[in-house]
Amino acid sequence: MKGIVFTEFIEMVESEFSIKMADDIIVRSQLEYGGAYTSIGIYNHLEIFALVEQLSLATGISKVELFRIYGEHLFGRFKKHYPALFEKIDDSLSFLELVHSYIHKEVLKLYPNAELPSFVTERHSENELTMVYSSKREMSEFAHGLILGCFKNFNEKGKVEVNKISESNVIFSIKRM
Amino acid sequence: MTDKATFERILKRERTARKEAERIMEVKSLELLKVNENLLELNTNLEKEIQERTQEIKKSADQLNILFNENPFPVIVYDRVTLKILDVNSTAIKKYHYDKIQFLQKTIHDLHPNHENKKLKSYFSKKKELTSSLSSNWQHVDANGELFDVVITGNSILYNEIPSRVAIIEDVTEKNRLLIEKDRQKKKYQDFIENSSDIIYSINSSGKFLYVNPSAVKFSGHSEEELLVMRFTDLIPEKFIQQVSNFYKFQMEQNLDSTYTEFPVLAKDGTEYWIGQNVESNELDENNEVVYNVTARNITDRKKLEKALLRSEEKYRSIIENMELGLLEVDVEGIITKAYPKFCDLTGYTAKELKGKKGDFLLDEEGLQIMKNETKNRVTEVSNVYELQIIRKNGERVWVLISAAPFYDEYNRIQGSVGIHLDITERKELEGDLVLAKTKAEDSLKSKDLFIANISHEIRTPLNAIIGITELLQSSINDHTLYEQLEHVTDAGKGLLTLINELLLVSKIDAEKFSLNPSSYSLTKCLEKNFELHKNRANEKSLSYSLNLDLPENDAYHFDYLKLGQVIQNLLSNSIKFTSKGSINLDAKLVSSSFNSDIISFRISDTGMGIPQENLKSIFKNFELANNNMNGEYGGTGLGLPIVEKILALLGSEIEVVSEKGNTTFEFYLKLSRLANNDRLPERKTNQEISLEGIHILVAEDNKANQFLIENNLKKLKATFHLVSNGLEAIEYLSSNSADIVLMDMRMPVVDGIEATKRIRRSKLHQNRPIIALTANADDKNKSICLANGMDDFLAKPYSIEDLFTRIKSCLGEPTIMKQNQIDLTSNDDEFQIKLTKIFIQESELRLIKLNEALLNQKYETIIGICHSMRPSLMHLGQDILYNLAKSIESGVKIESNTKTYIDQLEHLLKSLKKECLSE
Repeated sequence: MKGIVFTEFIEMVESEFSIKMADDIIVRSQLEYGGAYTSIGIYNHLEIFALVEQLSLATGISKVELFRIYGEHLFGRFKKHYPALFEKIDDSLSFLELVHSYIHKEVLKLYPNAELPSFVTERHSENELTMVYSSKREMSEFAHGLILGCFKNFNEKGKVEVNKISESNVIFSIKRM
Repeated sequence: MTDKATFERILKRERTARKEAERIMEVKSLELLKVNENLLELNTNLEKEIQERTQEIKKSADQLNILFNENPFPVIVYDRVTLKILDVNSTAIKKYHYDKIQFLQKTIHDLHPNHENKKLKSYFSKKKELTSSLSSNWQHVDANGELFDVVITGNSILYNEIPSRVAIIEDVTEKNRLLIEKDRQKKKYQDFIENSSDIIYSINSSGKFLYVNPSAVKFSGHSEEELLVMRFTDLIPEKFIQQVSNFYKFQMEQNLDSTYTEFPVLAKDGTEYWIGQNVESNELDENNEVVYNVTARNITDRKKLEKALLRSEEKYRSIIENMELGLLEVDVEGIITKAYPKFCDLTGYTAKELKGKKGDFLLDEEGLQIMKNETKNRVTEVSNVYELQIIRKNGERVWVLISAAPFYDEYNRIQGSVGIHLDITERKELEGDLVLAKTKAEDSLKSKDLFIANISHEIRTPLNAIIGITELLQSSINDHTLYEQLEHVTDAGKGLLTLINELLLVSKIDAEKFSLNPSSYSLTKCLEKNFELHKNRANEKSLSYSLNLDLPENDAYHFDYLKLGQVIQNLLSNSIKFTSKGSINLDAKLVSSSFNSDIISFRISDTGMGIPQENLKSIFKNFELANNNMNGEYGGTGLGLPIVEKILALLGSEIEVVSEKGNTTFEFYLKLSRLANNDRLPERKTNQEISLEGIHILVAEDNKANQFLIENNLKKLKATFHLVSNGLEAIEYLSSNSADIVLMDMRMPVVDGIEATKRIRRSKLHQNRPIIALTANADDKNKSICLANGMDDFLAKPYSIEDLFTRIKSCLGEPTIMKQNQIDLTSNDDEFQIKLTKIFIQESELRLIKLNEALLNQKYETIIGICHSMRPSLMHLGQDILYNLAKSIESGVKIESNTKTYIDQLEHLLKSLKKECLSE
């Protein structure tokens, strides 16, 4: 998993909770390389689960909630780091449609080894969209958070219904309000 | 808050992360450097490559130029829009006989003949947008106006920036001609195969049918579809499959190009045929498999013939070998080419001794002469049989029967002959003995007859003296005892005389020294005389003795009245002898008459003891007496009846006897010639004198032959007449016509004679019209029926022209004095007879069919009717047997068996009559 996911997570923990909290969960997670992440490196995706679990234990916030929050947070960071991706895209649903067909392809150009989840979409109407998440990483909550972040960033409101077929296959029914 | 350890950990992590980031950056930088170097190198290579490519392009352009100009096909480049020719290669210039400048002034259309204009127009309107290569069939015309078939392959190109098409033109005129020719040839061969009466098919190496021609389909009885999923071995009977398979396995193994074999096949319906088939294996199909082409022919008939020939050859060989026949083959020169074992046995020579020699040394002078003649004959005749003597090696002579036949080669040239020799020495000896014995026997027989004839004569003279003197003595004595004794002598003498007379007669007849002496005589007189002779004897026995004659008024016939008298006497004497009480009758009756003769039946019946059934046949043999006379009670020579039979045979008749206890009847028929005209009364009336001229007669008669007869007669009598075929027609005719007299047949279809007469009588006009019945039943009963029903007279068929004349005249109230046949019919008798016969044949053929049918369905009335109507014709034709049969049938005697006989006889008669008519 791309290092940015980890560095942004640690930074979010540091800013939202405390540096100590970040250190604590890193230590408790007993990570292979001791949690020394760089955004351009690649790390085992299971470490994010370990970190989220420790954060959940320490704060009492559920893992699901934490992933969603992080997803929402990360979307904002993406926009900051990769503004080129957002050029010419005016609304959330259009962006979501482009994730699979355009953005991931661009990502793969920069990081040929990246293992990306699949986000197949189907647009039902101007404000309705179905997005099918499938990834062996089983991080649908994270994806959920990202969708919410998307709405937030385009200053739109949306409603997401989650239909979990399995941990690795989830259908999001997305409605713009 | 945050402790030092925590910061240290964070610091450490940050440092580690930075180092890691730096490491990654360095790796990425190196990668970038490498990429940059590659790009630089690529750039350098690119220039070089461009140079090389330019070279290559130039080279290929040169090549293309060569390809263009030196192309064996004309190549023409033209503007896709204006169709103007832009370039042509040198081949095109040669081909079209235009130079390049001429070409460049033309459009591609100008190369096509005018008649393709329309086609071109539509082609270009459709294909404008296409760029890919296309081939199409066209015609082009060159500068000299010569047309040729072309295939044009087109390609779109840019030629000097102009959208153009390159057309490669191939002249296919010759190719097309060859193709058409090849097609024609192929079709010819195909037709040849399809229409062949031979069975033609092909199979692959596993025997599967690949092709079958119509003959094969027809022959096998299977459809083409059925055959094409079969193997040819499926058609072969079980027991031949192995044999045929082996044969073709051999062909395959030996790679034989062509084979021939024969075997049977089964058609779909199970019929077995023999075929002879040629198999050729010189063709490979598209899968490189060997294909066998088969031509077969139905040889069933030939096979059958072969078999039959073989069988008959074997049969004859075995017959010949098993017979005691000596076979010898000689060539045209008479040199022995082969002597068979039996011939060697016959002659005593060995086959070796005989071969190569002329057979002459086996014959004596006489034999050589016979042989010479026979050999000469053999050239003209197919085979001949003759007898001669052969000299055996040991000098003995054997008689042989030789049958010799020439044999031929395939060109029908005589190759020699085969002689079959049968040893007939024994037969020859026997033959000689027999001839000798026969001569002796005949001689002794003759001398016996002569002896008897002589001795009888010699005895008769003194015997007559003895009887005469004894009778003289008797008349002059009064002593009763002596008289009685002399009476015995007389009786014995008379008995002896009778015996001798009869013996003499028999021997005369047997020695064929007995002949007929016919003369003109009255039959009545003859019968009365002979009847009277035995009257006393009958009276002595108190027997009722009567003579019943029913003969024509004119009873003079030309016959041997003495011989007939002898027959009558013998029969009467016989009857009296064997009858102790009751009656003896002699009946003579006219049965039928024709133009010059009458048939008379003679019947002698008695109420005597009868003849046992088993003796009925033997009583006519010499010296045979019926069993019931074995004790000699009735005496007699036993020659009486044989004499009767023999005399009757001479008279052309035979006797029939019916006997049961108390009733014996002897009956025979004689055809007696009436006296010829010149024997009759000297004064004769002429035809004119019995003319019916001026009289109109209506004749109702259905029978064609009778119609013909009556027509003929009436024409002769010069009467006018109208002929109808049934009673109804007669009534109808009389309702609007008149007739002086009506001749009415009794039996007719629709309305019969009786009914017709009754109806005619109802009309006032015809109340007294004379009607004469014509009938075959000339009995009293019939006659009274006719008269009771209003007919005036009655004419029995067959009637003579005189009868006809007399009856008609008398009915018309003009009595005539006619007692004799007065009309000379002989002048056209033959013609008349032939015509009558022809009508008879025609009618009888139909009647035969009706008779057969009626017999089958037991319709006796129909049979009787047919017989009745045929009787007159039969009488006129002198067919007495048939006539009598018809009569018996009519009177209801043994209808079935008599009808069968009648039909047989009639068929027989018709056959011979037809032959006669044809020959005439």
